[in-house]
Formats: sequence, C-alpha cells, structure tokens
Amino acid sequence: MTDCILIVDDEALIVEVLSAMIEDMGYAVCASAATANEAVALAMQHAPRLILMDVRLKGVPDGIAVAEDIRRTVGSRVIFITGSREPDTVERIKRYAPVAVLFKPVRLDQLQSAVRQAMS
Amino acid sequence: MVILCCAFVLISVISIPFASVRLPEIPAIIPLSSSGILVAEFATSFLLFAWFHEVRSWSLLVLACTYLFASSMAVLQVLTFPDAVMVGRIIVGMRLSTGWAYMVWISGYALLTFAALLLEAFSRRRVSARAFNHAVIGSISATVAIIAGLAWIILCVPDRLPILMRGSEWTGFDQFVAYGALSTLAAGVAIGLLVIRARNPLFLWLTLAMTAMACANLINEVGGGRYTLGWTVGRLSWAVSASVLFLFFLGQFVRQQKLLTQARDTLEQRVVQRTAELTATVSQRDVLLREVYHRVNGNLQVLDALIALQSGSITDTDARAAVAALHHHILALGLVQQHLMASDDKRTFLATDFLRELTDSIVGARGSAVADVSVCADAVMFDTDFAVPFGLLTTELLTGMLSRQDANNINVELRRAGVQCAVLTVAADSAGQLLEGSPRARIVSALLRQLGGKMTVAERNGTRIEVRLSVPESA
Repeated sequence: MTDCILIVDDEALIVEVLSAMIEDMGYAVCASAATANEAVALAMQHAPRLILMDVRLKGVPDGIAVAEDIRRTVGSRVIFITGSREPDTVERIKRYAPVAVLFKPVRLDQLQSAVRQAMS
Repeated sequence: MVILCCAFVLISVISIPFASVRLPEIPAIIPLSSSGILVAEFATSFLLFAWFHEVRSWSLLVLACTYLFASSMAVLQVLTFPDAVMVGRIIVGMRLSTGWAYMVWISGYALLTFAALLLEAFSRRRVSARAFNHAVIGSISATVAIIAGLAWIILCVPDRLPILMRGSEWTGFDQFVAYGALSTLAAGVAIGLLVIRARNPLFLWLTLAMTAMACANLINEVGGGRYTLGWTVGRLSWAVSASVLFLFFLGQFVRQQKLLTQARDTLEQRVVQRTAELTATVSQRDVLLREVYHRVNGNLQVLDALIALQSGSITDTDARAAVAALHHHILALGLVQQHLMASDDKRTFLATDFLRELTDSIVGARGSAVADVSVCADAVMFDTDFAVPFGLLTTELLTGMLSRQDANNINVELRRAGVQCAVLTVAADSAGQLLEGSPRARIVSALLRQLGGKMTVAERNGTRIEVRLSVPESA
C-alpha cells in the first residue's frame, strides 16, 4: 500500500480541482481514472491508501461496485463523492462503510477533514 | 313464452273432463290463495309504478293500476267469502257479495290488462317528466276511487245486481260475464304474442299471466260451482297468474345483480391496471427528476471547479472575496438540489436540516477563524421556488455578518409566524454598515422582491436583521 491517492471521476475539471486540493494538503495523487475498468487497473497497479470515488461513472458498474471490488483485491480506503442524496444510493454507500461520503458540490473543509482522517 | 302459454292451455283443456268432480270443502283455500295473490300483486303494482318512473309509458301506468286494483279485489274476495276467515259467516257484505267480488275482479283485470296491451301495442306516447307526479297521483286516486265505489256496491247493494249463483251453480249472466272476460283475456294474449312480441319482455310475460288467468276462469266456469276440481285448480292458476310479473321482476333483479357484479369486476380490474400505469408513470417521473437533480449537482461541481481553477491566480482581496461569495452561492444551490432529491415527493423539504447544513457549509468554507454561529429553525416546508432564493438570501446575510472582524456570536433563526408566514433572523453582536451601497445590497433587495419579503434592520447591542417571508401554500 502506497501513501498516495487515486481519484476516480469522469469529469476532467473536477479531477483537476480535486488533485490541486489534495496536493495543497501535502498528499500525492498517484493517478486518476474516468471509468470503472480503469479504476480497478490503476488501483491494482498503484495500491493507493485512499481512493476518491465518484459514485456515478461512465457505463457500468458504478462507483460503489468498483469500490467493493478494489477493497477485496487491494484493500484501499474510499471516500465517496456523489451528486445524489436519494435514499437508495445513500443506503448502498453506507453498507460499504466508507471513510466519508461527500455531496457535490464538495466543500473544501469536509474534503480536507475526510482525507486527513483516511490518510492518518 | 308461446310454448309456456300453449302448455298452460293444454293442461287446462286436459283438466276440463274432471273439472266438475267435487272435492272436500276446504274454506282455507280462499284466504291462502287470496293472501298469496294480494302480496304478489301489490308488490308487482309497486314495482310497476317504480318502473313507470323510468319508462313513463301510459301502458305501464295502466298496468300498475291494474295490479293495484287486482290486489284490492283479492282482499275483498277474502272478506266476503263464507267461512274464509270465520266459520259460518262472512266478514263484510252479504252472501251475494261473494260472487260479485269475484266477478268484478276477473272482469276488471281482463279489461284493464287488455287496455294496457292496446296502449303498448299501438301507442308510443310517453308521460312528460313534468307531468309524472300528476299522472301517478291521478291514476292511483282514480283507481282507489273506482275500487271504493265498486266495493260499496258489492258490499252494500249486491241484491240490486243480477243473480250470479243459484244454489251452488253459476247462472247464465255469470257465465256471460265470465266468458266475456275470458274472451278479452284471449284477445289480449293474441295482441301480446302477435303484435308486441319481443319488443317489450314485460308485456310478453304479461301474456303468460293473462293465459293463466284465462285458464283459471275457464276451468272454474267448467267446474260449475265451489269446491269442485275446476274451482280449486282455478284458484291455483290465479295464484300463478298473480306471481308471473313478480317473477319477471325477480329475474330482472338477478340479471341486474349479475351485470353489477360484472361491472364491478371490470371496474376493479381497470382500477388495478390504471393504478399500475400511474405508479409506473410516477416512478418514471421520479427517475427523470433524480437524473435532473443529479446532473444539476454535477454541473454545479464543474462550475465550482472552474471557478476554483480560474481564481487560483487572483491576488486582489476584493476579487478573492467575490469568488468566495460565488462559491458560497454554488454550495447553497447544491444544497437545495440535494434536499429536493432526498425528499419523498421530490418537490418539498423541511427547512430545519437545510438551514443547519447551509450555515455549516458557509462557516466551514471560511476556515477556522470565524465567529460562533448558532442555528435554530422551525419545521417550515420549502418548495423549489422558495428554497433557492431563500438559500441565497440566507447566504448573503450570513456571509455579511461573518465578514465583520468584530463579530463573535452570530445567531440564525427561522421561526413560523402564522399559517403562511415565517421570520428569518440573522443577528450578530457587532454593529456597523452591512449592506448600503454594496453589491450585496442589490442581491438582497432582488431576492426580497422575489420572495415577497420585508426586511428590518435593528442596531442596538449589535445588529439584528429580520426578514418576514410569505411561505407559499404549496410549500
């Protein structure tokens, strides 16, 4: 397990801003992925300590299923980022017991607190 | 129906050779048969009047009166028949009354049913809705008057009428009237079967009732006197005749019940089907709404990211404050979308958690060196149209208070003030200019206009801003 963070989001601009925020906090971003397959491959390759995972990705499966896959194989911790507060989705995420769930648009203070907790 | 009529006639004809056979005298036959006839014919009369209310044909009105007349005559028959109620005597009238009660009954029934059949066969006239009450009241009154007049004659002055019986045998006059009634009934049956036919099932059933009545009259006459086989079978046949239309109505009732059951089943199936369709539509609408909210939040995040990237190089303090304000507004809009998405109806949500989260996000975004902010909110419901400007207004007022260096305690409150009214209060323990001349003043003014709110600012021991808002009914 390496002390870096993998960002999984299909919006390039969001990836860019999240990367900047994390680097400002003093952590390294090892890679970013836009799809589920890419995320699994990069997680296997880098074995990151933390993954910032967008719930809705291009195609299937979604971020929750991918996170479950990665947890089994790599064991990374996960912070979910989602634009959805619908009860079904929130319930599925909670079942996974992630470090944190952040709702879009993401607040910097919440992101910092969650990342510090996960990386400590 | 023709077959039934023929069968009735055939049975009667076969019985003719035995009609004069004398049977034991059983007076109870009269009250038994007459009470059955009374109940059946009175009920039929009531049902015919009820049906007349729907159809309003003259034939039906005459038929209803016929059955009212016949049921009354059945009563008169019992009251005037010797031994029928009390041994050795009659209840009312004289001995001659018995024969005349019977004669008036069968001939009246024959004439009135014949008239009803003629009207049904050859007249299409209907009683107008306006004249309905007059027609019913008038016909019932006329029938009752005729019955009363005939009853008076039969009971009080039967000795002035021609003699109908000698000993226990019918006279020629009696036979003339009886066979006249028989012929009238036969003519009526012919009109029913040949002219009316299946056009009106009620009148087709009436032909069966008339056939039974005619056969009863025939076999009674052939029997030659009381307590013969013909007389007894005649009574039985009259009872059958009286019950025919009642049975017709029972059949109608059963048929209507079946139709009602079928209609109810069809309706229930339709309701189930329609409910499933509506549920699917609502579910589809929810999916679409969720998708819209999700995309709006995604876009807000992209917008926020763009602003963050663009503002990275800004060094001017005012410009950075303006960008920070934009970030707060984006957070407020995102929060409205999130609460709408989480609500059951996707339209409304409670202010309580929203206001707390909004305050947290603004305070959190400003870092640690801020005043102590407390939040308190009543359970006010917001809808989309109200929540967006309200969120932006609260953001402006709170960031205004937070921007003061000397503010240590800030209080945000939303209180219900009546059915469709709420008061938003933002108070701080610092004084000084807050809005005048700033872009914030223009934003607040525009939002107040949109919300129909009234703002008051009090500056005593700090600053207290109160905004009185009309909460929409739908919210």
